[in-house]
Amino acid sequence: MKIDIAGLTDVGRVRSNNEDYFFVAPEDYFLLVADGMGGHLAGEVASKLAVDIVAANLRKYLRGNLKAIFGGQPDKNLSVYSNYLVSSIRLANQVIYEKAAVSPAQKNMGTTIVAALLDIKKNIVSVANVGDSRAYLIAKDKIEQLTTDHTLVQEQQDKGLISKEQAASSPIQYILSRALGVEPAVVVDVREINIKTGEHILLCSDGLSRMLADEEIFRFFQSADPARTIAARLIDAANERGGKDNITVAVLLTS
Amino acid sequence: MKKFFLADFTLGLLVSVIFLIFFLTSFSPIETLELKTYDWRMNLRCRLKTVPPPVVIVAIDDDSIQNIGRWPWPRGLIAQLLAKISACRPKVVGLNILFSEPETNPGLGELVAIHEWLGNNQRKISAAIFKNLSERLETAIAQLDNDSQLEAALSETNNLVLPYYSIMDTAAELSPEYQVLLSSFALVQEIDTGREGQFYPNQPQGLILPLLRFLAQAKYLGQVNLYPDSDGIVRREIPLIQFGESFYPSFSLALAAAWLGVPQSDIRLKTSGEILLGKNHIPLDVDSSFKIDYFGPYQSFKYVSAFDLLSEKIPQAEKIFGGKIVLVGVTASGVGTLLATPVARSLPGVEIIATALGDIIQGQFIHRDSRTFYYELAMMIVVTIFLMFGLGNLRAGLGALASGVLLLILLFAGIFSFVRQGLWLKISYPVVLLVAGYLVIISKRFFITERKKELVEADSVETNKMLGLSFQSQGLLDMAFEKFRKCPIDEAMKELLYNLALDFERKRQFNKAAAVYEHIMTVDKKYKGIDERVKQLKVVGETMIFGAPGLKKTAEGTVLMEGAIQTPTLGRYEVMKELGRGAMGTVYLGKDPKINRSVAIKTVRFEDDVDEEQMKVIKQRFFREAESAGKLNHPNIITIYDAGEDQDVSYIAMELLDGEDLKKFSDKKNLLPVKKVLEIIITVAEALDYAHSQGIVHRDIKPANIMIQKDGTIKVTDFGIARITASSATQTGTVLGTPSYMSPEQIAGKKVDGRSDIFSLGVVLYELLTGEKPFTGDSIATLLYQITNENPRSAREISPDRVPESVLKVLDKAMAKDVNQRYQHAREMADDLRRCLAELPQ
Repeated sequence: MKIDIAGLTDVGRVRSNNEDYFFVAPEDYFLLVADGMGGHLAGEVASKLAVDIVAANLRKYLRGNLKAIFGGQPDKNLSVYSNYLVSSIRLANQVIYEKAAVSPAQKNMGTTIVAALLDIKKNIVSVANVGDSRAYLIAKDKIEQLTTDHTLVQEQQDKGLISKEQAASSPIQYILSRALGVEPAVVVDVREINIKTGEHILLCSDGLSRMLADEEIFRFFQSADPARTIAARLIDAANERGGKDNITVAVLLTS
Repeated sequence: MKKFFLADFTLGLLVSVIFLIFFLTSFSPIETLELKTYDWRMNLRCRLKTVPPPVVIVAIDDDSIQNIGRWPWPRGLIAQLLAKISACRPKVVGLNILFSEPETNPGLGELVAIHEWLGNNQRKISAAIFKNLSERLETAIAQLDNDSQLEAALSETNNLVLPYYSIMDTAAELSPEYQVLLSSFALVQEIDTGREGQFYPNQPQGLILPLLRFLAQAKYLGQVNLYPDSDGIVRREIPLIQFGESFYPSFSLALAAAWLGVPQSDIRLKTSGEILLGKNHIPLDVDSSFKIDYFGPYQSFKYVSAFDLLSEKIPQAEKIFGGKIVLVGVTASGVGTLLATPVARSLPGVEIIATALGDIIQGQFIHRDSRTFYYELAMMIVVTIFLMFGLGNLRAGLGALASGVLLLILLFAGIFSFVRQGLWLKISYPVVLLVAGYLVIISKRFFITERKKELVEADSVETNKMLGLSFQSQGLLDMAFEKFRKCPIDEAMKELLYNLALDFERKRQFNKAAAVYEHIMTVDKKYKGIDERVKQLKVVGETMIFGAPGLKKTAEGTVLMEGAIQTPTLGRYEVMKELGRGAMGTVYLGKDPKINRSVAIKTVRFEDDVDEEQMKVIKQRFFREAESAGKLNHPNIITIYDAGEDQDVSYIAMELLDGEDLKKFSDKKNLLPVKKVLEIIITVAEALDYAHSQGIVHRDIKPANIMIQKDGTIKVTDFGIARITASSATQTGTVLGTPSYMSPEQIAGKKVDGRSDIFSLGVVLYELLTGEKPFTGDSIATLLYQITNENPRSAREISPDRVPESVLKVLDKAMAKDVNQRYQHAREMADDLRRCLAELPQ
C-alpha cells in the first residue's frame, strides 16, 4: 500500500489570524490538526503547543525512546498505537493547562485536536479527537465521519433534542463540551479502523466542515491527484463558500 | 465566532436556570421548605414582642365543663355569663359561639301548651287556681326559655359582636327580614380606579347566621372561619368574604372595628386590595388574606375560665375586663376548635382570632409587598453570578468559605427582615440554589481531581518526567525544572537535569543553571564535574552583563566566554567568541547551528535611561532599519541575515568577513598605492550608488566601515546602523558616529540623503591619499565648525605626488559644502574616478 500524506492551512477570508495548526509526518504515518481558542493570540499558542507536543511524543514512542503511558496504565482494549495517541494527547492537555495557569495572557486558552496514526504493518488507523475538529474516512463510494464533535449541539442532537438541520443553525454551535487544556484531565475519544487500499483519511478543522457538506468533501477525493493538491482544492472550495473561519486539512491517501 | 468551553460557568448557569424556574412557578417542595423556615422565623419574631393587645378571653375550658356540665350548656347560662361580663364594663364583647337554631326544649313546649290550654279554659276553673297556676307556669316558662334570656342578655351587652359561619354549600334562602338585617352589616366598597381586580376574595355559597332575634341585638357581625394552609397550619387570616354582591368582615375585623369605634357599615374596602378602618389600614394579598403575626405560644393573651367567672371566683373582675375587648369562646378539648399554628401545635380558634385582631389594631402584619419579588430575584441572581464566575475560580477551601459566607448573608437577610420588619423574603430558593450549585460544581471538581490524583499517583514519576521534557522542549525551562524536582534523582534523572542545566546556561540564566546543578548535587556531588561548574557559574552570574560594552565590571576580556561551560546563544545563534567592540556594542563570532554557517553578530546596546515606551519605539526603529539594510544584495555590501532580540540584547547577524578595514591604511606610513585607493573608492561609490537606488543611506562612511577581504574583495559594512544607534545613543555632549567624516548637513541635523555619503566618501578618499584627515579640529566643536565652514587644505599640498589634478577636482566636488554642488549620484563620482584611474601613469 502506498501512502501519500499532506497538510495545508489557510487563514480564511474573515479572520485576521490563524488559530489552526497542523502537522503531518509522512515518514511516521501520522497527521494532526488543532484549532485553538482563547484571546490575545492564546488560541494560536494552544494549538501549536498541542500539535508540537503530540508530534514530539508520538515520534518518541514510534522510535522506541518512550515506553511509559502518560497518566497511568495502557488501556488493554486499545492497540499500542492508540495508547500512544491517547497518552500524547493527555500529556499535551496537561502541558497546555499548566502553561495557561502561569501565563495571565493565556488564561483559559484551549484547543481542539484530531489525530490519525496509521499502523502500516496492520493497516489499522487509530483516530483520536477532542473538540469539534473532525476525521473522515473516504471509501470508494461513501464518506464516513469517524469522530463525534464534542459540542453542546452534538450532545443535544445525540439525545434527539434537535435535528441535524437545527444543529447546523444553532446559536450555540460553537460551544465545545470538551477541549484540550481547559481542565486538568481530559477524556480522549479513540477509534480504530481497518483501512483498505483506495480508502483515504481526512482530518480538518471546523473551518472546512462548516463550509462544505460531507458529500461535497467526498467529491474532492474522486481524482488521482496527490494529497497536497486535494488539500489545496478543499481549502479553495471552503474559501469560495466564504472562508468564515481558519481552514486546515490533513489528508492521507492510500493507493 | 469564538469557541467556548462547557465549564463551571455553564454548569452554574444550568443549575441556576432550573431554580429560577422553580422560583417563578413556586415549586412545591421548596415552598414547603420555605413554610417550615417561615414557622421557625415566626417563633423567633414573637419572642421579641412585648405589648399584648387589650384582649381578654373568657374560655369555656375543660375546667368549666367539668364543673358545670357537658356542652352545650343551656343558653341561660351563657346569658348569665354575658351579664357578668357586661357588669365589668368591657368596651367590646365578642361572643364566639354561634346560636343559629332555636333551643329545643320538649318540657318547655309542653308547658307552653299547658299554659295555652289554661288560657283557653280560664272560665272552667276558679280564678284563684287559675292565677296561681298561670303565674307558676309563666315563671317556669320564663326560667326554661333560655333563648329569651339570652336575647335579653345580648341586648344588654355593649358593642356586641356576633359570629357567623360561611359554607361552600348553598344554604337555604334567607328570609326577607334576614336579608334586610344582614345588609346592614355589609362593608362599604371603594373603587380604586385603575387598580381593580388585584385580589380575589372568598365567595362562600351560604352563610350560617345567628338567630334573627339574636342578630338583631348585635352591633357587629363577623365570620369565624379559619383557613389553614395546605399543610394544616394556620398562617393567614382572611378578613372579609364576598357574599352575593356584598362584602362582610371576619370576626377579627369586626372586633377591631368595634374597638376602634368604627361602625361596621363604615369599614371600607378598597378594590385595590386594602381595608380602611378609620386610620388603620390592612393590606391584603391576592387571596384577600393577610399573614397572621403571632404573639406567642398558647395563652399569650389573658385567659379567664368561664366557670371561675360564673362562680364569682375572679377578684377585681372590673379591672380585668373594664375597657377591654372580651372574647367568649370554647377552648375545651373535644368541643372547641383547636388548630395548628407556627407557634403552637394546637391553638384555640378564639386565640387565633384574638391574634388577628391584635395584628389589625397594632397594624403589624407579616407582609410581602410589590418589591419583595425583586429582592428575591436579586438574591437568586447574586447566587447565580457567584456559581458561574466565583466558585469555579476559587480553590476548594476558599470556595467553601465564600459559599458559607454567602449562605450566612442570605439567611441573615431572610431572618432579619422577617423578625425585625415582618417582611417575608422567600430565602429558600436562593439558599437551596446555592447549596445545590455548590454541590454540583464541587462534586464535579471532586470527581475530576480525584480521577486526576489517581492517575498521577499511579505513575507520577513518569508523568512528571514526560511533562518536564515537554516543557523543556517548549523552552519553558522553569516549569520543566519544577516537574523534574518532583522525581527521585536516579541516573536517568541526573542526565535529564544535567541537560536542563545546560539549556539554562545556553539561555545565560546562570543562576538557574547553578540551581539545577545543586539539585543534582544533593545526591551526587561530583556528577560530571558539576561542583566546579557551579563555582564558575556563580562568578559568571554575578559579573555577566551581556552586550554592554565599556562597562565597569567587565572592563576587559571576553566575559561572555569565561566560565560558561555551555556555548551561550543569542536567538538561534551560538556565540563562539568575541571579535571586537565598537561604540554601539560588541561583535561576536557566531554560528547558525541549523546550517552550520559562521556569522558575525553585532549586539547593540541601547541606553538604559530611557523609559519603556521610548525603548519600544527605538527598538522598533532598530528592527525596521535592520530589515531595510537586510534587503540590500550587492557583492560589495555586507549581507545582513537576521536581526533579533534575546534577553534584552538586540543583535544583528551578518555575513562574517575575513579581512581588515581601511583604518590602518589611513596612516601615513601604511598608505596604499594610489591606483589601489582609486579602485577601492570606485567600488565603494558603486556600492553606495546601488544602496541609494534602494533608498538606503549609509550615514557613516569611514575607513573603519570599508573592509578589504583576504581575497581582495571590498565590502561596505554597517549600513544604516549609524542612524539606528544615533537615535538611541546620544549622550549629552557627544555626537556619536565619526564627526570627521560627517557631511555639513548631517552635522546640522538635517534630513540626509545619498549625497551625504558622497561627502563622507570624499573625506575617505582624501585621507587614504594623503594620510591626513581634511578636517582636523583639536576639539569636536572646532571640527564641526571646519566641516561646515572651511575648505580643507589642498590634498595636493600634502602629497603632491599622490594627488593628480583630476583627482583634486573629484575631491572638491565630492566635498562641496552645498549639496547641490556635489556629485548628485555616487555613480558620477565613480565614473570620474575611473577616468582619473585611466589617466594615471602606468
